[in-house]
Amino acid sequence: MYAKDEFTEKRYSYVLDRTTLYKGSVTMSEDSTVVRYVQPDRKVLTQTGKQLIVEDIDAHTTQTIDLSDRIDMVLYFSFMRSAYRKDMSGLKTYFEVEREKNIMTLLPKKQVKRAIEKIVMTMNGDEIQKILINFTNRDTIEIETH
Amino acid sequence: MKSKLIERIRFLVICAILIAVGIFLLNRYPPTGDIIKILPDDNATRTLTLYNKFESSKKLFVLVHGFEEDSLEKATRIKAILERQKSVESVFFNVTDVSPRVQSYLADNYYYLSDFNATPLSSQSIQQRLNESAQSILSGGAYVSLDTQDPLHLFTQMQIIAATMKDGFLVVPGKGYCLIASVSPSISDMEASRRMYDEVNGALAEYKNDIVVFSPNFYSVENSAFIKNDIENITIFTFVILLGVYFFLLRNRTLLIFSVTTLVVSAIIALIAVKGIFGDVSILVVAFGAGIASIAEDYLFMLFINDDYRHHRFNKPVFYGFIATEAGLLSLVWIDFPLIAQLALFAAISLAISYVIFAFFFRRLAFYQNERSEKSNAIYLRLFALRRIPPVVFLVVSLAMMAYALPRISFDPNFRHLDYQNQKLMAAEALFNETLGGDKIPVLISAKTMEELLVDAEQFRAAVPKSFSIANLSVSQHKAQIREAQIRSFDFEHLNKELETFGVSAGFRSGTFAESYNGLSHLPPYRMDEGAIAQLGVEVLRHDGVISTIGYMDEADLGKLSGLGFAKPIIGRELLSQSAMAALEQFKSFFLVASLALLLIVAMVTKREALYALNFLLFPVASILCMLSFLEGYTIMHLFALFLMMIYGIDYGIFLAKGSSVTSMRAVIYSSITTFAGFGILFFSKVPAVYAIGESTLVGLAAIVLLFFQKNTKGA
Repeated sequence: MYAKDEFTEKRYSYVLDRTTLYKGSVTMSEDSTVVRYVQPDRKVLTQTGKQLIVEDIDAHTTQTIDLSDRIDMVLYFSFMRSAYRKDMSGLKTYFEVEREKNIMTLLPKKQVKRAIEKIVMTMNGDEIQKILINFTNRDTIEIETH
Repeated sequence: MKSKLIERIRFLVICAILIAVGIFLLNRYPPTGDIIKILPDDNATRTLTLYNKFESSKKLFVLVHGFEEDSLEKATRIKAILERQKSVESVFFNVTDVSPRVQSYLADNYYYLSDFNATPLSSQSIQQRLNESAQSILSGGAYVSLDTQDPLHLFTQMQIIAATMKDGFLVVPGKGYCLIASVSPSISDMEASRRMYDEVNGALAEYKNDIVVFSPNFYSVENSAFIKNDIENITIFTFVILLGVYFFLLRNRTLLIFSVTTLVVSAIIALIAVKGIFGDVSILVVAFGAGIASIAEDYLFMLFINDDYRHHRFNKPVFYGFIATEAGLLSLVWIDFPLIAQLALFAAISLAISYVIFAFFFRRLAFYQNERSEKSNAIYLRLFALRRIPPVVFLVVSLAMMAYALPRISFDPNFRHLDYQNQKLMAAEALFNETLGGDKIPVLISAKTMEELLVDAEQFRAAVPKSFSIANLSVSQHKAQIREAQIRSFDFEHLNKELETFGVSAGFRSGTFAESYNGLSHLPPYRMDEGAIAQLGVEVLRHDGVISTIGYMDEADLGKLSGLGFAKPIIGRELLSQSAMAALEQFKSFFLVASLALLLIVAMVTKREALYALNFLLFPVASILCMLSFLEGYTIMHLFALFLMMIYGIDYGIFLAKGSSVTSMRAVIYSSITTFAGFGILFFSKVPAVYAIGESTLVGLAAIVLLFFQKNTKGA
């Protein structure tokens, strides 16, 4: 099963009071998720199991991160996979999913509540057009697919 | 005629009552399939028994093939199904499956359980770290949030789960989603394990093509079912051969009913006695029960064919044979090896009961040989004439075979080789072991008090940093006090001021770090919660004034345990091998003493015919040893069969040496056929322990057949 999509991501960091615009694409395979950012920096993120490899194309550096104790990153990739596969079943473990017309709202369950306030997705049929993630620390992420 | 009929009916009624009571008792207290219970009670098996008492060894694993959405849905449904089963206590599948109790334990004790870098930071390095944090939030990459509680990462998070996760779900990498359930039955609780096996497999039946289910408990359930089935098939064969002997050779069908009834009564009483004396009776004893009990038929054949019932005679050679057999078997009862001791006691009791019934009660039941059977002696008379090989030839050949075999035989100490090799479960176990850290070696850590245990575990963790134990999830009072003192002496007030100053210069909002390290000013004392720790997979067990826990480590790190006397690695294979080697040494010394005793008894009873009779003992033993020298390794069951063949040899030797008539030869040949039916047939078993007895018996019987051609001075 493979999928490839380009996206634009607007991240607002409350503690820095800064919004950054990211552009890139996502490629999914059976066991891994690869996110390629082209803006603001060229970076490739490859997630396989509990391992994340971050490759900085311009700085020629590679960093390996153990995701086993990083619930925020685990959720991020889980979300990426679910969104791009148009399959919400994986997210149902973490969220209550409500849909009203073309708006799908995901309310977090259990300890995910500590990190995420809610997620709102704008749909076009089965396709996701826009995702807005509100974090409890007042950060937001807005992703639009092309 | 009437009194004979009444006697016979009375006999059958009493036997039927005994059998009914026996079956009731055996159903109520079934035999055990637990291999540890039949091993010698030494340090190795005691360690294994203690390890098996830990709840953490009571697990059930389910692999749902694939990572597609369908697989995840199935895994989620299976989790819900498992949670409804009576034998399942909890199911772990994703990171959210951590109970509120565990969450509160981890949160309350966070500053004790994490590693703390107490080295004061310079202003420059604080500035540098805050700049890096800002940079990582803004630069391209996965979303990163600022940890406002510990922005400088002074506390390193602990590892709380030793398994592979993917998107927050437990997985077997490259295979599929995985669920781990904690189950209630212990491995040694056969009945509860069987109920769990039926319950779980029944509940997951619709998914059986998409999943792999494994629990260590399944071995005893599946293997004992297989052994039972194997025994049933073998018993049918045994019974068919016995029918043939009674119908076509003895030509007395009624005798068959009474002899089988006697054997069943003897076997049941012997099983109950073994259960009463040892507390447990092994399924392997039941497996050999039919065969061992059938040895007693020798006595019946010898008494019946010799017409002792008709003439109300006491047959001395049969009695001597019986006494020699009992002496040999009873000498093995004292060996500190439950399986051998149980088998020997079972054999001694069942043979004694059968002998008493055959020798004394059967007289009153009036079983007489058919007059025509005298004609069947003719063929044996011809065989009698062929007895031309001098005993000294057998003696020389026996000694030569022993000289050849003894330096070449090697012992296989792996007890698991005796059990049925359940390939399906072994493959499933390997699948989960490879990927879930199950290939790690468990280490038993014991101490007198909880504090000592925690201090020991902390030493273990320091010696083997990649290990996982209670030291990853709790701290000793000693360590907690050190941590409290470290935190108290750390100047967090000054640190917070610097965070505010340098934070703003790095681009953070003013007040972002106002809450940082707040909880540390009034740090509550460390609170131990064994229940929460147990839910995370680390358990503490109290037994006989000792507290124990299990840690896990890589096999490659075993060398790092030197000097840590409290940490005992549990390598089942090696512990069982140690136990087996100790058992062998014991068996060898008993074997030697018992053999010498038997040789003496035979020599005393047979006097001038001693060499002739002793060859019935030496030649089968030498033949079996010779066969063993061609095997990769012989097992304890081969030795047991060897001993059984010695017992047969004594019976035959004494009987033929003392009787040395055509009828004696006929009785011995009939007996050899039933021995084949009882033991030789075990050669067709798929259970290695049972097969080992079968192959030894076949060789021993072949040697006995050759001994029929041994020249007997008295007979000649």
